[in-house]
Amino acid sequence: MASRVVVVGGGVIGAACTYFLTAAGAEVTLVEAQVVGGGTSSRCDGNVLAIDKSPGFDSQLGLRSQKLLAELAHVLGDFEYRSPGSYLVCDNDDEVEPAHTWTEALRESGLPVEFLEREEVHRRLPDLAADVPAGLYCASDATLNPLLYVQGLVAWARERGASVRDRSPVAALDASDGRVRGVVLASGEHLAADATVVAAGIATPALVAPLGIELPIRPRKGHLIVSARGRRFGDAKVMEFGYLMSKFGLERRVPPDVERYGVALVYEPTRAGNFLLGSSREFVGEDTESDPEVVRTIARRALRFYPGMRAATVVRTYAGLRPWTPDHLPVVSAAEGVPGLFVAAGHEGDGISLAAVTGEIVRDLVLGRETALDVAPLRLGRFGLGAA
Amino acid sequence: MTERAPSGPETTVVCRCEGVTLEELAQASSRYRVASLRQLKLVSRAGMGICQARVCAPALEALARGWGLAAGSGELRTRPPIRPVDLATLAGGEEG
Repeated sequence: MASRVVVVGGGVIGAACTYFLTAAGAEVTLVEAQVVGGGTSSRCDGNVLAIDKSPGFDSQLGLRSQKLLAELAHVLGDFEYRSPGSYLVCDNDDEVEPAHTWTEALRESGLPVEFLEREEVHRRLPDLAADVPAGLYCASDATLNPLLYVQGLVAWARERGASVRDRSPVAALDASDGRVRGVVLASGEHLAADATVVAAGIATPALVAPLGIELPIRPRKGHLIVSARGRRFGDAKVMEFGYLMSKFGLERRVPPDVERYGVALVYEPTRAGNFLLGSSREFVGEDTESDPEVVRTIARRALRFYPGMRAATVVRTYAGLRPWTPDHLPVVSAAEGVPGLFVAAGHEGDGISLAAVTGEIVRDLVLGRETALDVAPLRLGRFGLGAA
Repeated sequence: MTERAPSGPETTVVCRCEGVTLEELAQASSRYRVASLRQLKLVSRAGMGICQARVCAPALEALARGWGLAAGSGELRTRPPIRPVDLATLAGGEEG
């Protein structure tokens, strides 16, 4: 049992951990190096998807998070949560059979997914390019404003006694006798804790490395294009089926630049009346500058699926760093062999989707409760590296 | 895209593109205990519209300073494109 908890990292994962721990009565201090919600959680879309998770455990995590989010939408202030469903559309005939197989597998996992033949996909998405051969639809998929979601979680916890320390970089975990006892800030200040949760995204490996824990999380850069308010191309989220193939590293029949930058169409309308376009996936270090070549490839990809977007006005492009793991699952785990230390990181592009279920699991791990799901697949020790 | 005309302190529009008023900024700032201009932007949409704060940045910076928020030059970063551009141009004009 632990009552004093330090959460390191004020992104969506740290915010959700802070929320669930505070709600359970723990005394939480959230420590953020810069601005709460200002890192990867401000350079992302608002997808809350089950459709893009592997059937089985992965999709169960997604569904659990969707259920928790629907509850959070009643508890927190408005964060533009809505549940319009989402579409995956096929680029060419080669993708139709895999999309069919994917649909069946997700249905067997209990997801409300349906396969859409050519005629049906064009009936529902009239702006799509005429040669799109098929698609699928997941009715439970939701969307939200990630900026407001993070701030809402933190504001709720703060009102109930959680302490928030922004602009407070952590110099090191405070470890002695093989146990973590809190953190030491760059200012030299010690924050003591019974449990320390490291939820620092791509910064997590460096924080736990001094304890001999080798965590294979790497920054996977992704770009987004932001439109001005204007004509929209439907109210539901649309991705190309190749997004999944890109996410899981499968071969696609696409132009070379699309392949090189891991580009796949993501169209996300927002409540503000504009839309976002993605996506790209690259291992290019920690640079978050927009790369014009990647942006151009994403723009071309959008026009391949939505020829009518030619005249859409673009006001901003930016990039964020997804915390990638080798098996595309996050680490949500006690650090085996290091009492007092917990890790919640490595959600790649699923941080917004999975923050709620992550916060719930962390609460249960820290407070010694039984978790709602079997969390063995999320264990730190699964990579077979380092002390853990 | 001005959505309402300013007629008093409570309806003073600070960000015209997104129609964000002074009062809305004050409410958002207090509700989320905003600590910096960047955070204020993220919770209010001020500066996130078609002009990308090119018009309202001085007003936002002055407000933020007045409210004791971090308001340095990095808070309202501009990102490409340097001015609004249509998607076909961004795509290189070779599509379609």
